[in-house]
Amino acid sequence: MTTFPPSTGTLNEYAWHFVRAFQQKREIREIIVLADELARPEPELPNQINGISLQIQRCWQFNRWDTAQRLMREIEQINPDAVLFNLQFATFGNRRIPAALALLTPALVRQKGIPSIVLLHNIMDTVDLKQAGFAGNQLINWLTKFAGRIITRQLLRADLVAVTIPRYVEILEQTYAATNVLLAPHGAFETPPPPTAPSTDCWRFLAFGKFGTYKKVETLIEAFAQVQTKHQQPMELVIAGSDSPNAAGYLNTVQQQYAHVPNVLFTGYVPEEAVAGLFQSATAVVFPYTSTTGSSGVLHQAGSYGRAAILPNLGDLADIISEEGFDGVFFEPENVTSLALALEQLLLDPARCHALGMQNYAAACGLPISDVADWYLLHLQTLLRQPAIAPRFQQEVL
Amino acid sequence: MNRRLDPAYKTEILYLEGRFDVHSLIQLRTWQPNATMPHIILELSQVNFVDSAALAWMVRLNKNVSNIQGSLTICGLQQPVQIILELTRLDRVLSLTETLDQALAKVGEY
Repeated sequence: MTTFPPSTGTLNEYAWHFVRAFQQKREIREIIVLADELARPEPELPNQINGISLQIQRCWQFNRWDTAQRLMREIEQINPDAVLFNLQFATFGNRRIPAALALLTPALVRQKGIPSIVLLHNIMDTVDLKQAGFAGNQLINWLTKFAGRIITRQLLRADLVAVTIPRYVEILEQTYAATNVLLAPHGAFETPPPPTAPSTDCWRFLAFGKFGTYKKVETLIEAFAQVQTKHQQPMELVIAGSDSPNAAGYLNTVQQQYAHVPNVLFTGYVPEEAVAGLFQSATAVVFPYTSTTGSSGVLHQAGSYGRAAILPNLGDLADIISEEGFDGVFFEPENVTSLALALEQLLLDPARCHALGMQNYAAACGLPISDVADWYLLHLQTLLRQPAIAPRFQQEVL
Repeated sequence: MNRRLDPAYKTEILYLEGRFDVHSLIQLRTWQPNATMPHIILELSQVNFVDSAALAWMVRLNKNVSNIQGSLTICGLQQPVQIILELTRLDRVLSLTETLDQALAKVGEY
């Protein structure tokens, strides 16, 4: 159960690679992806590899109130051996109630006695509501956090909840007394070929992702403008990707606001086949994140292509970076001067830029997503061997 | 890494030490379990750190030995390694023992 390309919902790219990894596992007979409906009719991407059958059923919609009901209808009809949810808190909507109701689905699956694993990319306890596009007044924020705790408890009713950051395990165990949480690595999307050397004729800084909530580019553009006025080298800032579903219109507004800054390129949505060229054309990849984000698929991509990273000094990201062997130049989030200094550090030291890129390449080679899929399969096999467990009605609600 | 064969148990014992991570995996790149010694014991009493790449290698090894009707047993965990295995819940899905003797006894049960 996930967003899935060509839908542009968050986590779609992770899902694409994750599903492809599972398709190569002989232990699996069939994969059925319960994906989000497309805004307009589009053909599905070619996805038949290595003979494992893949069906894509587009059966839920962003911000609909009846998502859980629709998903359960599908799941009951399919009667799968197991359900793997690829989720974050805003997967199902940017409106609180539809998003929250849909997040009850893993608990409902559990009640049906179908083994389930939730891969939870972020947790409510560390999400900055304002940054995540759920901002309201203080009372509404408190209520949202309160509801978030209830929803977290419901998510924890899945047989297993996998998170990609050690601190999330601690929070879920300590705050919710959870005993079914595990740490699972994020994994690298591709088995990367040897990286090409970054171009230094034109320094191209790349920011990639879905922007507008916790990925904001204003600070980056201002820092880039500062660096550009100080140095003569040709340079370009490429902002690649689309608006976050929770921040429609954000990039258009920013583009107009900073139209006076030269050499800033907005590419819009980047199709899968253009991603490699985009990263290879970059000198370094910038992560203009303002708050906690969970693990970063973009960091793994930057590593796959041997690119240096310019990273915000955020606790979660720093954890992942050190544990998975990545490195980068750090800046203080939302601080123009600090980010400008970080950009300059690489600009003035191409050898360091190259060395950081190679270190990230080594880290990205370390753990392909195919190995991560094996990790989940091992847990699933263990779940499948267990006798059916009665629904946890007795678990406290809050 | 040191290796020892125990033909009586059809077992190969791998002794690892120090940091067991993406870099130390390089020395294991050419090693594969084989059908004549399908049971593998990883002796980790001298290992003080494992990273996710090493854990993934163990998961893959566990799968590979299952495919040749063998087994993987991991023994002698230091506390930091035990914590990582608990955090990932691999302690629930991989076969662990405290000592090498216990690991060999476990292999004897297969």
